Amino acid sequence: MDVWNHVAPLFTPYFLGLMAISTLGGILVGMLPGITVTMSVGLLVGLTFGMPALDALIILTCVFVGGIYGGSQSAILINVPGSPAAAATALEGHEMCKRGQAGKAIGYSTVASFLGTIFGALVLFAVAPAMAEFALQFAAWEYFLLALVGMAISAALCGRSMALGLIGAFLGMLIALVGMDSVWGYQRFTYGSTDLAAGFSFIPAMIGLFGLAEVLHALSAPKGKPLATKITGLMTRFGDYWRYRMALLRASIIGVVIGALPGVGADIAAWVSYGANRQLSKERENYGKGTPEGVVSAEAANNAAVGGTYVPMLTLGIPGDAVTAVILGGMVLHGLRPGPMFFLESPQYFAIIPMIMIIAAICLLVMGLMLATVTPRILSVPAWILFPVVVLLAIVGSYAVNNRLFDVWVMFAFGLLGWGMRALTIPAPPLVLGMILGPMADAEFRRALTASHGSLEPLYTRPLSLLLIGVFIITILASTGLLQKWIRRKSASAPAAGN
Amino acid sequence: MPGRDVAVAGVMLAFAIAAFYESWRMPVFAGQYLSAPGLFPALTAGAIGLLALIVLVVRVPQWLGWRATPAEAPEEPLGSVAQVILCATIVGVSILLMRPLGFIAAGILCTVGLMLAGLGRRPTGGEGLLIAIFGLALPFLTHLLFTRVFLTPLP
Repeated sequence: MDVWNHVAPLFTPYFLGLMAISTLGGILVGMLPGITVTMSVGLLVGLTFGMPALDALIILTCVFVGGIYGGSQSAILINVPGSPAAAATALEGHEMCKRGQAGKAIGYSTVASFLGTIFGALVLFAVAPAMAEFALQFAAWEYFLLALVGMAISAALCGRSMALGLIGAFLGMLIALVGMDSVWGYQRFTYGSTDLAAGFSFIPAMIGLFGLAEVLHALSAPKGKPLATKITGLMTRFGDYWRYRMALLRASIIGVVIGALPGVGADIAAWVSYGANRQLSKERENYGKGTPEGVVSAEAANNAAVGGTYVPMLTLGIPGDAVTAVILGGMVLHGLRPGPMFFLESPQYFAIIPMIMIIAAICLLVMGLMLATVTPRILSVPAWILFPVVVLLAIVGSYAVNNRLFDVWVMFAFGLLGWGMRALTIPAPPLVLGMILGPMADAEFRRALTASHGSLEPLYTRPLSLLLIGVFIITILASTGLLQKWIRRKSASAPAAGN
Repeated sequence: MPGRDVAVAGVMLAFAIAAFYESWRMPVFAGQYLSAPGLFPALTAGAIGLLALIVLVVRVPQWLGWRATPAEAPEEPLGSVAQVILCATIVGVSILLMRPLGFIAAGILCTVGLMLAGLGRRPTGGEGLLIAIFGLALPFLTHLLFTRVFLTPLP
């Protein structure tokens, strides 16, 4: 792959400007509580529909990178994470803010986010092509199993109950099956409606699920006020970061790995990294009292996860989280088909996307530090002024995808569904993953069954299938606590047997 | 929390039964049962029903107090449900009026309605002026931007 030839067009004033503006926009929307990254990216997919594919991809990726970072500033200043990925940052960052170290906390979060993004981009660049070649070995059964494994991992990690998460994922699958069947052209669950014949459009559904639902929640909930009104001391010495080098490295690795798990994403990455670094830290007693190490752990991980989430999306067509699910929908709208053949059809994107992330990281570092001084003023914009703008853009964005009023109703219905799921604490990411994977799982399952004449033998005779079945079983056992019980029983019986 | 889970599982079980029945009724073309359009939806509905049953088996005894409920993380406060219903009604009515009245009129209703609902009290003079200016300008400018720049044929 001739990397330089692929990425050289990015270094024009137009694209560099577009990346800078998009990253800034991402930081701003990420910073504002209630406006999540998924919501912003969902709205932008509708708005960038008429643009060339590369322009749209630049905007979506930069908003993703900027938005994941931007959430940390409101987490630090008002203890309300601008995005769910910054929830772990609030634990230590806000404590630092209360001690008068808001600037220092924002400085740490900015540099950690910058380094995490670069790490994620480099891993994406190094791993994705190899992963894409490996994915070419997958047959129909493996694709079907991959969909099941993805849903199981997402359900296990995203919610309080695996069963409820899986119900959400299968519900997403059923929703995705509405419309014309890909094999026989039969209209499933349409009840004679011509609007439903093409199924539910994914982008309006996502705008509703993450946009309108979030607005409904935010308009009804009280918000905090910034503790710090003046931000100083943003710059810290190099030695301060060197002190936390191991925490940074661990956080970046955890971020990429968790990000690459289907349907999990940056918020879980931040929590896992925060928990792991807390366990392994030499300053364990400082956690909870406002330690920079906690801020660094969460922020490096959630931004490193951005690169990780693109790995399964580009190579398998399975999104790493809800944001990449929306970006995947946007790429399909622009005629790009992420999946195992994507590396053969459009290899340039395997160099372009990591380079976009690296440039976005540089913009994030510069703009994040510059913007921090005015953040308290931005955060004081009341929700009642902000959210009507979001709703209007949600309506227009849903309409613009197909120029159909029906899609606006789809957005509205999914908005109510999203709010209901939030009220019942059922996680949305498994549902999104189910919606993405439903058509693939359906087509591959029927293709596999037809090819094997109804025999399930390939499931247990192909090594890849066996591996995926193993991962599926371990995920179920681990999330239900059965695996831990078994390990405890084994370790308890081992000394007894020794005696 | 067990009560909510029981309600969700009950609704999902009923939904799964309905979806399974609908899938079962789908035709089989040319005797090809393995690629029948209803096969995968039926299996998916079956999986939802099975999972809902598992939730019911675990949660019903806890809900009835026969078994202790394990400690759970505190729930995120939901805010005012009445406020949510009001905001959803404003958005729904605005979408409904988009075709007959056009985007700008529906947008004004939506913007002004949501701003007042979000404010949650009688606006002061300054706030009222801001709402009036914002409520008129935002839909007009959005319409202008989308119809002229993005060439979206908004109603």
